[in-house]
Amino acid sequence: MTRALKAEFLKVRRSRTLLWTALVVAAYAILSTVLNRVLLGDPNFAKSIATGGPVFQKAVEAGFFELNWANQLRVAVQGITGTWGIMLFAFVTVYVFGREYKDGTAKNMLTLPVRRETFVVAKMIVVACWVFALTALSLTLHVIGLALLGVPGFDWNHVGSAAVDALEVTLLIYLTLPLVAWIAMIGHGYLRGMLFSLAAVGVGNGIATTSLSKYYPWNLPVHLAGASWLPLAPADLVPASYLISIALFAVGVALAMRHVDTADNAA
Amino acid sequence: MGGTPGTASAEAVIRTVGLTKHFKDVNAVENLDLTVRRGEVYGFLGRNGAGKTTTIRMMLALIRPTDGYVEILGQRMAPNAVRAFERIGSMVETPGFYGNLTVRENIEMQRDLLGLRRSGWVDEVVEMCDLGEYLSRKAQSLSMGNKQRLGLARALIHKPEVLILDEPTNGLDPVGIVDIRTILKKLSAERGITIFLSSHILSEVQQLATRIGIIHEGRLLEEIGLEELRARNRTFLEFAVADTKRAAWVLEENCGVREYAVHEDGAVRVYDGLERAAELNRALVQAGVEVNGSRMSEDHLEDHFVKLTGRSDPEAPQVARRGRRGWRR
Repeated sequence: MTRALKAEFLKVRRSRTLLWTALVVAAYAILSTVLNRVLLGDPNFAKSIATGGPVFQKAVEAGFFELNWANQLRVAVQGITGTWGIMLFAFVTVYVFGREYKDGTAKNMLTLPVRRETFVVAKMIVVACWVFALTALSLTLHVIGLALLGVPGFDWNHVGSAAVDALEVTLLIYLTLPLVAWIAMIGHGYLRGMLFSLAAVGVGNGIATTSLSKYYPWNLPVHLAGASWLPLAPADLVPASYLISIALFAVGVALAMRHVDTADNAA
Repeated sequence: MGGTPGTASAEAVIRTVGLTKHFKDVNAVENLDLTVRRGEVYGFLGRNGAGKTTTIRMMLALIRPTDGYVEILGQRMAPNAVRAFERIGSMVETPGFYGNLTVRENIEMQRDLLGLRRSGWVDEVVEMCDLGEYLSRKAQSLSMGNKQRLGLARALIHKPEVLILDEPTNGLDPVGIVDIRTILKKLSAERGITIFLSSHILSEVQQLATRIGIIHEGRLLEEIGLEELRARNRTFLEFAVADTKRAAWVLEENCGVREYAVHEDGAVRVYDGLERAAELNRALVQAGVEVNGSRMSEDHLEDHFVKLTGRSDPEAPQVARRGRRGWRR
């Protein structure tokens, strides 16, 4: 296991994709921080937003558009669930798994005297490290940005709470990733895994306001983190919500392991 | 690990039994039985799409056979045949490597994954594959020939007993082909590695293999040993005669020809004394043998290959046709 893990980390260490994903996260953190500082610093902005309809009015009344650390750190966590997280994490996964098939290295990897399941586990560990590192980067950059821009209302409790939320949200997204990995392996590349994730997010948006949403694994992070324009509460989630996500993770891992053991791995 | 140099016992190292692979309505490989013995260089020859790569993929448990099985070094090949994979080196179609890593990192990673502790093995394989000056270069920046060498280095680092290569010279220029051939010859001669090599390039297989298996439309049509192969490549003088028995008697008794073959289609092929073509022709005529024609020709595996697999395909036997003289009267 150690050998496979070492190899998997080496494979991504020099990868430009690692840098690009970090840049996407950094760009979001910088843009959202600066943009919100400019927009929310304008006292007329909240008023103009409130005229957008009942949902926006409700959000304004709940204080979502006030410039303070609590709101801005919530935006940081919501970025993971909405703006970049799910698709970027899916991309990391299809890259780690699909690349072996796309570049024709899977046939080498699978003819090594190492149990094939080991590579699935090692790759999932790499994906975990990668996505949690991106989350940490996002939060860190948000904190630095807010401090530099002099946003009022700093409190370490806000930072701690945002960190816990971000980790929980990332974990919930991570639970969906083995299925994406399996699809990347079946598709022998990146495209199918990304399309699947896009479709999963699309379905999630479609059922977001229904009672089914809290059972749909791709919507759990949104329920947990909330959405500025659609206030949702963690209270919506029930134990079954988490159990379904954990089951999805187990099924995804099992399918990925079965694939390397039995299916066509010729690429 | 590591074979005994020069040994060529009868031990079967690779064995396929009734190996079959169907993809929906395509029968890619059909009931393939072949045996490769220790120390052999087995050339697996076939046209594009004949079933070579599918066979190799089944050998390495990359795809599951529809029927039959593969045994390598006495072990039934399956996805987690870890013990067997410890003793096998392989390169299927394109050399697999991580382009963002350097040549050294690629080889070191393979060493780590194989659990080899001695770094000396890296130096050995680097020297053998002549990769020394490229060690710090990213693999993606290598030429096609050097990428192939890197693929070979990865396959060889653990000193395997069996080397399975799928079209190892595919896409290489003539110099690259010679380089790879030299390495393989050296491996066979010095380490006694059993090599299973697929190719659609006849000349390549002829120069390397000690035994050749010809596959066509998923079926193994024929296996030819080195001796037979040599015999097949001999130049001969063929007489088309009315009476083959008398012709043979005249050639042997009157002309002293010792090596000849009588064919049922009324042809007598003479393998020695070819410089005396005119004299032999005259002797036959003078002895009353009706000579309908004669030709100087060369028997080639290529001819045999084309005969076995059907029409000549420009992509298939990629070897320059040597001169063949037509019937002379």
